[in-house]
Amino acid sequence: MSWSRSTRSRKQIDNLDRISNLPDNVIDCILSKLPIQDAIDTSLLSKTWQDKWMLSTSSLVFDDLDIHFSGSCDHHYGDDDDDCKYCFTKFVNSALFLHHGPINRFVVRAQTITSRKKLRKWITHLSMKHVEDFQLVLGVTHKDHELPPRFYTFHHLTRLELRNLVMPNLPPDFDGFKSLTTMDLNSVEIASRSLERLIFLCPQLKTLKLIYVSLDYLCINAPKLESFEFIGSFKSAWFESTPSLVMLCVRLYDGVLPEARWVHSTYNRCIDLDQNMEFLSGIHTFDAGMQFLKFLVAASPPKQVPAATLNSLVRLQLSRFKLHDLAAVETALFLIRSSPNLQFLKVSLRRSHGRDNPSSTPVVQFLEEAKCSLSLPKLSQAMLQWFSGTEPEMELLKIILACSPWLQEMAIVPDIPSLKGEGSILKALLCLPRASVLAEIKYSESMTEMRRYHLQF
Amino acid sequence: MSITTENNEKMITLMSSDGEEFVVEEAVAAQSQTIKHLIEDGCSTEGSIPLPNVTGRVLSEVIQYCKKHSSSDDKEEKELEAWDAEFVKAADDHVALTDLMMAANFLDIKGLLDLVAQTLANMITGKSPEEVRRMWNIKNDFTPEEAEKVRKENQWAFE
Repeated sequence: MSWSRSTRSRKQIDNLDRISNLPDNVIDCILSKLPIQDAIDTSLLSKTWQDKWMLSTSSLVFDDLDIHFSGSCDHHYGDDDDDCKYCFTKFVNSALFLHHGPINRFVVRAQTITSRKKLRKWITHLSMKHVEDFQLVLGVTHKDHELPPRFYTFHHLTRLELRNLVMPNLPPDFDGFKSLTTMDLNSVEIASRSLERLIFLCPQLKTLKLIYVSLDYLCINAPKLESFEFIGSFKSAWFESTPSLVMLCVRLYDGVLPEARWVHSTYNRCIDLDQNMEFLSGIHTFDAGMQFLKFLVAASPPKQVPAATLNSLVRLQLSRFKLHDLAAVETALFLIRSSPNLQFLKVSLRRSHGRDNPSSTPVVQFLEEAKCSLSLPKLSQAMLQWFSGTEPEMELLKIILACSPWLQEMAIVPDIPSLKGEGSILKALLCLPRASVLAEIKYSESMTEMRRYHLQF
Repeated sequence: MSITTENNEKMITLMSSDGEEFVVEEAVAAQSQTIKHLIEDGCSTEGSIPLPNVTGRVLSEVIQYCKKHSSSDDKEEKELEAWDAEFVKAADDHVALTDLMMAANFLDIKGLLDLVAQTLANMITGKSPEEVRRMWNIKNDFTPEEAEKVRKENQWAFE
């Protein structure tokens, strides 16, 4: 049967195999988005596909939740040798060494890697592959999770994510990850000195996350750094050069009060917070945990009149805030006073769990006095989270409402277990004087609901 | 080539392989790195930029995508995701998707390329080789012996 061009229906044209003949980079794009076992399975499709996954997949993602084995392999943790019986580690090993093409992205997300020897082999292999995106995200800490020093030769890195790993000391001849823009270290063990050098030797670094990291000291010299998030502990810290920083979040562990004071590296002396807020001067968003505020206080008790002005600060969040701690309240008020352009304020209160708080009289007095002189000329949205209606909390609420002429929204999320007399609190709320005629009070115990109409937090 | 609208938006004309002309804002067209470079290099013929690899039908879809993505900012991420999902759903089958994919590749629009690649990848995730072959009209040119050999070679990955 012969078909002339014109009688050929669309259906017949559609019987053509279009996918197999797509250019390699397009195939790579599809294969990189498949779970790895499905990608390997494509080699069974036809001769054209037989080698495609091992030649054209430039992104290798191994997630132990995605990988399913049919056999009887019991996922037990083997010893540090080649007979490692843990299928996942073996799987990554086989796939990596069968793969022949370039690798831009190498991602492992797994509970654990049981063979230090294999990890060393992977790193050596990858060091010849110009990897740009390297993520090793492990679920638990393990003695074998030490990153081989060869890792420091990944010169093409642009993105790095590590979790539950030990990072070796930086070799003396390490000359940096010149293109790295994003670094995310979670539960990673690293020496303060190595971290300081590592940050310094990544001149393009824009986003830095250090989560659950314990340090002796933290020193940041990163001219392009825009966003920095820290959860963990340090004894001292300084921001040596961070001229591009706009987002700063620091939360320190409870109970690990900084021993040393806020030290300036150049002069090696304590500095006054109110005279040296340069490191905060470009910040647009500041999220300060309670312990960090205390740290700032320990460095120098703020004076009544601000010496520096945080003109860029638009969004301030105080986390796990203990409102009965006078020094912390003073520092918080000091920050607020110094920020004439503040538009969004969120105070997340420390839930008291029914314990008796120390006397709140000094704080109430301080807040009452502050109310007379404070002005929040630009504040438009405020939120108090885990509100339980204590006297200092009511005072803080009064301040926000009385000092913000352009306030549009005051959101309150109650802490139901510790709330006593919700009805009378709500009545009291309605009577509070408001400087802004537009101010609306929103009260809901559901954070989800709050987020719906309160997009900014 | 450079007509200017009331809003001072520079407009340019794109011409598809089948001669259809599309007048779009430069900012919209410049989401395609290829077009952006063509504009920078002044590569227009008689006032319009010829795109010999893209048909009018596909080009109109690509422009729809570029318009949406140049007018949305970061805040509307969720909405944009939903829009993207509807957009690829409208492409309906893998034939339309491969056409779109080829156009995205030629025009160098990374977002669109990723979107379509993800859609094609989702189509075959969890499917047997036989099901994939049927869906994509791939001819199985392995002899049974060869197929068995490849299966054996891959066995490490599945047990």
